[in-house]
Amino acid sequence: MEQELSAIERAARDRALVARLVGGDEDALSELYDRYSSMLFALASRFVHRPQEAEDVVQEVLLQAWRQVERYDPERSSVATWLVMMTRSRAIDRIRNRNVVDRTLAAAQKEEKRTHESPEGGRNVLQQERAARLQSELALLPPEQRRVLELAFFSGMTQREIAAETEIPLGTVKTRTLLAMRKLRAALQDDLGDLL
Amino acid sequence: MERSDVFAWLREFDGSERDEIDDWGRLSPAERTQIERLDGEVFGLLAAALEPEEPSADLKQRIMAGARRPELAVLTPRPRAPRWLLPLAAGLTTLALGLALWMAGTVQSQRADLARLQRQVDELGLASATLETVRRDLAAAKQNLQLVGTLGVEVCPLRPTAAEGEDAPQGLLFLAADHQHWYLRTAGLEAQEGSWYRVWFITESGVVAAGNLNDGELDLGSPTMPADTRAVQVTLETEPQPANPSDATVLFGLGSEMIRLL
Repeated sequence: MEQELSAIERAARDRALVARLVGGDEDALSELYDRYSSMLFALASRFVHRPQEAEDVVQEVLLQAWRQVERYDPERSSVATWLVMMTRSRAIDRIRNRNVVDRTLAAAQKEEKRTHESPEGGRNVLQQERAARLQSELALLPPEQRRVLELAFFSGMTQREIAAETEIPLGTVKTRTLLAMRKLRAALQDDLGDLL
Repeated sequence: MERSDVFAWLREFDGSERDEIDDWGRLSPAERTQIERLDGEVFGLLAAALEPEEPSADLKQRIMAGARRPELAVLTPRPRAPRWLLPLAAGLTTLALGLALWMAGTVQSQRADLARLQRQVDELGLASATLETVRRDLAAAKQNLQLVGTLGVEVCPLRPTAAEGEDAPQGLLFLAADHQHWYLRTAGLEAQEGSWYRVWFITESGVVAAGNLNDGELDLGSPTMPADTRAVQVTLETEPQPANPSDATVLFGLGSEMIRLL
């Protein structure tokens, strides 16, 4: 019952899960899937725009987590961020490896209505609550700050690339990004606290 | 930069930029580390701003199977989206042409086998035991030939895991319309002393031995195929009947590449 656990319990459970993965416990992988697959799938879909390819990304990431769990460093990030950054990285790699035809098709598909609706969309209350909270915090950011942050995260652009894309001086891009990060950091203290 | 490393992203900001926003110069190293860590988490949390979406129901099954058997991790058989039809059709046409040529050779070879066996049966003076063996071989050959030519038969190409070339081994798995009766025909597998070519079906629940290609025999068949078979492989084993395959895979075919020829 995910929603009944406190933040501290959830963080502790993540760490325990990693310890079990190190020990080769398949049930731990199953739990990791239950806990994060919907978030990772949504993230991968945001990048690749193809449900089947997004599933491939999630599969790669969770199997990498299973096989290379010893690479996880709790001093550097939470389990969630580790998985998110791997998913983002795999998804960006896929986009960059597509040939010209695939890129054209993907661009055309961006406007298509998503048909891969979840049969259990309301199952994970915690994730929905967190999504709503983050969305509201992002909505509170000035548009120019939100834009640079979204470009950095969802397009995989460097600060320099964002500056070129938006035709804004690099220094301004960095300032906007840092301001946005500081605001989110302050607004999401409770969420962050349980991840560390 | 390595995009999976959130700290690499944070390193795009230097101290002076940080000074403007976070009063960086007045922070202790521990405080800086803590802020960097928090920023990393904020960056990672952006994924949680997306509405969660459930992947298809069988993804978990595929991942768990992939954890148990790494070769299953690449098996994600599913229908392609319409946009793939044209390039897929072109690929399949090429494959079908190759398979049709290969199948023609297989049928011709089997007909020759049948004729040889029939001649042996027709010869008087065969010992009864020998005659019984020949009759069994004849019945099996006829059955296999019938399967190869049956309407609705599907074919899965088995490709060599080592370098490809004219002399590289290859195989074709014929599967009857009932999805049970199968027949495997191989070529280019050289008999080796003290080694056995063993056929395996890779299923959702594990690997199932299907038999050996013994004594120079290049084909194998059976009226049953394990449920949820995803792939077939041929390995070169140093024991005649190992319970599990070694790493020495010589041929491999995916169920998702199966095509209907007739």
